[in-house]
Amino acid sequence: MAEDGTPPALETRGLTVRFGGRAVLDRIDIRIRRGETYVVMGPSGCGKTTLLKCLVRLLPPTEGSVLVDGRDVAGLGPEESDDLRRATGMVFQNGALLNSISLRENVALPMRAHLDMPPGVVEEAVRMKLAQVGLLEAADRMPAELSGGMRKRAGIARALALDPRLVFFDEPTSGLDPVTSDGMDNLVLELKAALGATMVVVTHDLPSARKIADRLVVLSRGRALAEGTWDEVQATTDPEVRGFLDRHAEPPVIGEGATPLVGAPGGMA
Amino acid sequence: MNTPTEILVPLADPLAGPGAAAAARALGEALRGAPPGAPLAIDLGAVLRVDTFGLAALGEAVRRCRREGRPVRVLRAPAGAGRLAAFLRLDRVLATEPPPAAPPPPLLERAGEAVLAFRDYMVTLLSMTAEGYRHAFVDPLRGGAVRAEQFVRQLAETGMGAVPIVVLINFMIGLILAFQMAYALRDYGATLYVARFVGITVTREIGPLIAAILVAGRSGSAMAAEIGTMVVTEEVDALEMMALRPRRFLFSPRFAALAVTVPALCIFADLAGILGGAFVGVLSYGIPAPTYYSETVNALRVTDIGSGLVKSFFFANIVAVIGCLHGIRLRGGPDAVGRAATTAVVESIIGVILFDALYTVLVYFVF
Ligand SMILES: Nc1ncnc2c1ncn2[C@@H]1O[C@H](COP(=O)(O)OP(=O)(O)OP(=O)(O)O)[C@@H](O)[C@H]1O
Ligand SMILES: [Mg+2]
Repeated sequence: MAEDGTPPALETRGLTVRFGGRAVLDRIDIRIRRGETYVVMGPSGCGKTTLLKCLVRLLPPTEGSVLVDGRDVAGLGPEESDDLRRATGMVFQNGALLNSISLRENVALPMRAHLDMPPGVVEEAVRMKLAQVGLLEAADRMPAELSGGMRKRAGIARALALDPRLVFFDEPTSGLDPVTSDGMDNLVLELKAALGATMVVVTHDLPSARKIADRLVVLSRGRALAEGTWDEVQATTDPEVRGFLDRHAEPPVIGEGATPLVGAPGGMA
Repeated sequence: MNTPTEILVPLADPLAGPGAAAAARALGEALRGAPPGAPLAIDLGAVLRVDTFGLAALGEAVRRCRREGRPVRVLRAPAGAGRLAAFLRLDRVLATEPPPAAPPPPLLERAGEAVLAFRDYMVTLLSMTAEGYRHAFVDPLRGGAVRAEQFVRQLAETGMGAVPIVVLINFMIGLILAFQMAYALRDYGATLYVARFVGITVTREIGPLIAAILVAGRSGSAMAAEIGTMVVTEEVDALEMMALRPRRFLFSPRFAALAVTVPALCIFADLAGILGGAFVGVLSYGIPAPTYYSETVNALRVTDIGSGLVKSFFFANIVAVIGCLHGIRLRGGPDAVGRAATTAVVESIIGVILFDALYTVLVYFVF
């Protein structure tokens, strides 16, 4: 429970995910407060995307539970589950736009499906969402005609279509140039100020995490190694966390079959 | 003339969710009843909560007023609305007009464009066929092991996999043909001619045609989808960067493989069709098996079988070129892959039958 007695917006208890016996997430306990921006960090392959998928209920945990507003999501009925989905926006790593329809229609889709609004209002709302991510001029393009960064921003516009109170981002800045990436961070900050939404952001971009995070967690090999504000996490002495934060080479064991790139036998064969 | 009085529209709280839809209706109502030129004032004094759709309802009303040249102002907007409007770039959205739908070009122009596009398409098909012959037969195994491997894989995929269905379908068609022919000949007491009829129709026409159509459905679509997916996932670009010439690497093994497998399947088709006919002739019409056999052998000339095989070779070229072309020239995202596969099948079946008609007429009148 938070200080004022309200349950956290999002909480995991002993969350464990195994793929073929190997624990990708190992007893994760995190609490995300209402209205905060929570950043999940860690080296590649440590289970960030997997954690996100559990939080949004795309992947059922092997063990443990996920609670939204203090309720175990495993116990939600189909109606409640749909309501929760409508109040949740997910920004996928590569946008995950529907390729057969234009950008405008991608953003309009959830509005038309879930809201009973006159078409003119939907049209205006779509234009606002696209303007917000700087894609107003590209509204009539098809997803295949967009750059990677544009697709990512379009994914954000679609995720925000229904004014969600929970927003999840999978690597919003990866693959973007520093300026665009900074713009993405500003967008997250603006979003927080304007909507008061709770946001969970997966990233391995340290400057971005520092800028947007209220609190963050560092994962490594399926374990939550450090959690807290940026300064609290910076103060940890755990060598693995330090290695990641100080941008040392990633720890040698990042998963099965990881081999050093230099000096590997037959590396260039 | 005195200025028309301002119309005041107060909006209720919340200007969000279903409230936004109600506001949009109220504003629409007010605008419909308003005398032209009368200014509109939207009063948000009672509003505490605004969401995107509430703002969109306001935005739509403002845009309509501007279009009609009607002055409009928003009164007593809550602070939250201002913040949200700034966040959603309301000013920018309202400053731009949605582009009008482009009018369709005149009919004549479109027809002209279609003709030109068709001509270009035919030229591409022919040049690709020429390319296929060159790669597959003139310089066959230059390029070495990789392409030989691809070729063998395609042989197995397009040939062996198709044998059961080709045999089954042609057996059934031989059966059907025999029954229909016997029916046509029943008054002449000439049921023995069933053997001759089935033998000639199957080897000259039905065998090659059905084999080609089945291969178009199985392999033509697979080629378009496979290569198309590779275009979408930039694999084709990757091949280009490895100096592997995607056209050659992907197209020529498939072209060469079909040129072998379709005639081979055609032989299976011929045998199965004749067997189907014999089944009916022997079991239903009491023709002794040796008689049926000798009738068939006597009726068939080498040119019948040869003409069918030659035809099936060209059918194979058509299916391979059209299938690969629709993959290679695919543009757009993954959704285009399904369309490419469908188009490839439809076009190669049309191509095969058109070619067949041309070939038959030519052979009939010229040779
Ligand atoms: N469906 C699956 N089946 C088996 N293993 C999986 C599956 N999905 C993920 N994994 C494994 O789980 C581990 C964590 O994957 P995950 O995608 O969560 O990593 P990540 O932290 O998001 O990495 P990145 O930063 O590279 O995106 C990886 O080792 C991956 O191989
Ligand atoms: Mg990931």
